[in-house]
Amino acid sequence: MTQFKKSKLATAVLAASVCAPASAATWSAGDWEVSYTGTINLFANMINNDVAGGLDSFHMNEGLLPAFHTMKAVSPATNGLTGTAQISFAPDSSRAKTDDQAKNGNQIDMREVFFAVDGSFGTISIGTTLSLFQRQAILNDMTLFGVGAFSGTEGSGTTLGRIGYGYTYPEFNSRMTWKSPDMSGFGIEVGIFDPDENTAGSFETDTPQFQMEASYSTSFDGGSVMVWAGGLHQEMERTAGGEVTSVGFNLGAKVSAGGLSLVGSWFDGEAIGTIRTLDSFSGNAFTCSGANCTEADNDGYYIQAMYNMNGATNVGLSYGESNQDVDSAGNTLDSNELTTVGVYHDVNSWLKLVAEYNMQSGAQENDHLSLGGFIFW
Amino acid sequence: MIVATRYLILVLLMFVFSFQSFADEVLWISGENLFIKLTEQDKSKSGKTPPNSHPVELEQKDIAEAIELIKIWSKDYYEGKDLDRVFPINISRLIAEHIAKGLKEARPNQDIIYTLAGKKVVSLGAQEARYQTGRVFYLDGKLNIIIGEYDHPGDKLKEMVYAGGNEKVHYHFPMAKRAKASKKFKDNVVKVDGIENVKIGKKTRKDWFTIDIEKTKRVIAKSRDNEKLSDDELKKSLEDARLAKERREMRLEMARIRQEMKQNKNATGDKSVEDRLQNLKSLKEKGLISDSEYEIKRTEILNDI
Repeated sequence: MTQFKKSKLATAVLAASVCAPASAATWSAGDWEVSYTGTINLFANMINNDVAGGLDSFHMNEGLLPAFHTMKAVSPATNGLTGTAQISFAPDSSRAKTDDQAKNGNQIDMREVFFAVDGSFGTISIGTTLSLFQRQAILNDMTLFGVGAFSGTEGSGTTLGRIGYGYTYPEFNSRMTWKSPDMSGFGIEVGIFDPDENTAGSFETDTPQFQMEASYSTSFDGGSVMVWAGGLHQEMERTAGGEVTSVGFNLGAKVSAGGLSLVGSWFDGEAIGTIRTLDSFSGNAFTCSGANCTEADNDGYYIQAMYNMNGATNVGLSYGESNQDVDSAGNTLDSNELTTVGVYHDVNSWLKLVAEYNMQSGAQENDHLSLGGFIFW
Repeated sequence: MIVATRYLILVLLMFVFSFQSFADEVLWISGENLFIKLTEQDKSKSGKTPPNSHPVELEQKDIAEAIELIKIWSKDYYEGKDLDRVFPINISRLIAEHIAKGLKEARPNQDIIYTLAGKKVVSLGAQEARYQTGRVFYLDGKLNIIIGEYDHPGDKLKEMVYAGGNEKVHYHFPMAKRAKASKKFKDNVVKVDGIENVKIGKKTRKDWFTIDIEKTKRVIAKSRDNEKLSDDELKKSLEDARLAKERREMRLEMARIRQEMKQNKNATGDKSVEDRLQNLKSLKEKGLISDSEYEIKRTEILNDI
C-alpha cells in the first residue's frame, strides 16, 4: 500500500485529473491534452409535397447537423490559466439530386476555428463558433439530432431543423466573448460579433453586432431546471440614407424530471429575420423607401416534450412557428409552422438511430418521414 | 408591459430557484458538472431517516486509504492480478479531502453528495471520462457511502455538438439514495474486514457500504507489515539462491578436477605396460624364462591395457 501523501500540489493535480470536461477520448501530448472527435449522419427522407400539383420526393440528406471532424487541444494549467483551441470542419454526407457525375456541390464547412482562455475571471473566447443569440434554443431542440424542416427537397447541405420554425439561426460567426465563471448555477456571456450586412442594396456597419446570453441552471431531487435569456443588437447604415436597427430578445426554459423533459423557447425582435439576421425566406426583414427604413417585426416560439423510456430511447413531440409581419414588398407573410414527432434511440455509446415525422407549412408545404442515424467517436 | 412582465418572471424564477443552491453548501466544484457539497439528508424507505452522527472528525488519510480498499471482485483475484477500484485513486483522494472537511461542519440532518469523473483508459492509450455520483454520511460509528450513478460515459455526440457551440453539456445524474438501490452499481466487491454492505430486510444493498475506520486502519497496517515481511523473505530467498549457485559451481569444479586426475592416471598406466613387456623380453633373452612362460605373461600384460 503506497503511503498517502498530502500536499496542496498533489490535491491540485488530483483535482485537475478529475476535471473531466468531455467524454471524448483524449491523448497526452507533452503537457497538453489533445482529442479528436467526429460524427457522420444521413437520413432517408420520404417527402409528401402538399402544394397543389406538387410531386412527392425521395431524397437522401444529412440532418440539421453536418458531419464533423473536431480537433481540440487543451493546455496545461499555467498560472491559473488554461487554453483550449478547437478546429472543426463539417463535410456533407449528402449531395443535391441534380448534381452531375463530377459530384459538384459537396462542401466542407469550416464551422469552428476558435480558442478560449479559462481563468478565475471566467472564459474569454475568440474566433468562429456558434453565436449566443438563440444558442440554447437550438441546443435544446430535439430536431438537432434529426431532420426537422426542409428548405428545399432536392439539394445538399443540412436541413433546417427548427430554424425559421421556432427560432432564428445562431450563426457560426466570428466573435470575441467573455463568459462569467459559474456563480451557483448562474452565468452570463457577452460578446462583440462580426455584423451581418444585407446583400441587397448598399449597406455598411461601422459597429460590431452585440449579443448576450444569461442562464441559470439548478438540479433538485430527480430533476433539473434551466432558464435562459438572450439578446442581439446591431445597427446598419444605408448609403442612400436611412439605417436599420436589428434587435432581438429570447427567453427559454427547460425542466427535466423523472425521464420527462419540457422545453419552451420564445423570441421577439425587429429586423432579425425568420432564419438568419436580416434575411428570411420571402424577403428582407426590413424595407427602405428613400432615406427611411422600416424594420419588420419578427417573433416565434417552440414547445417540446420528450420522454426518456429506458435510458437509451427518447420519444419527443414538438411544435413551433416563426412569424414576420411584412416583407420588403409590403406583403404580410404566413407563419412558418412545424410539428415534429420523433424517436431517438442510442444503440450504444457510438451509434444513434432516429425516426422522425415532420409536418411543415409556410414557405414549404410538405410532410415527410425521415429514417437515419449517427455514428460518433 | 408584456416585455416587463417577462423580465419580472425571469427574475422571480432565478430568485426562487436560487434557494436550491443556497441550501447546498459547496465544498468543491469544477466546471458545470463536478461537485462535492453538503445537502439535506434524503429520506429512507420507511420515510424516517435517523439523524447522522455529525459533526465528526476523521482523518483525510484514513478515509482515502479505506475507500481505496473497495475493489470490484473478478476472477483475476485468484491470479493475484490488480482489481478495479470502485473509487479510482484520483477520486478517492479528492473525496477524502472534502469529506473530512465536510463532516467537521455537517449537521446531523445533512449528507455530503458528489458528482465526480475519473479517467478510464480505452483503446490506443486514449482516456475517457467516467462519471459517478455518491452520498456520504457518518452514522453509529461508521462512514456510509452510497453509490448512485456509476461509470457513466457521458453523451459523446451531445458534448461534441455543444462544444461546437462553445457550450458544455449540463449533466444531472441520479443521486445516490437511501430508499432506492443504484441501477448502475451492482458489482460484488472483495471482502475486507471493516467494510460491509448494508442489509435492508433480506436484501443486501451492493451500492451501500459502511466503513469502520478503526478496523480498516488495522487492515492497512497489517498489509504494510506483510509487505515488509515479504521483503525480508525475498532477500532470504535471493541469498539462498546465490548460495545454491555457488555450491553447484563448486561441485562442477570438483568433478572437473576428478576427471583430470583420472586422465592423468590412465596415461601413467600405459607407460608401465611398455616397461613390463620390455622387462619380460629381456628375461626371455637372458634365458631366465621359457618361451611358453614368456607367451603366457605377455598375454596377461597386454590384457591390462
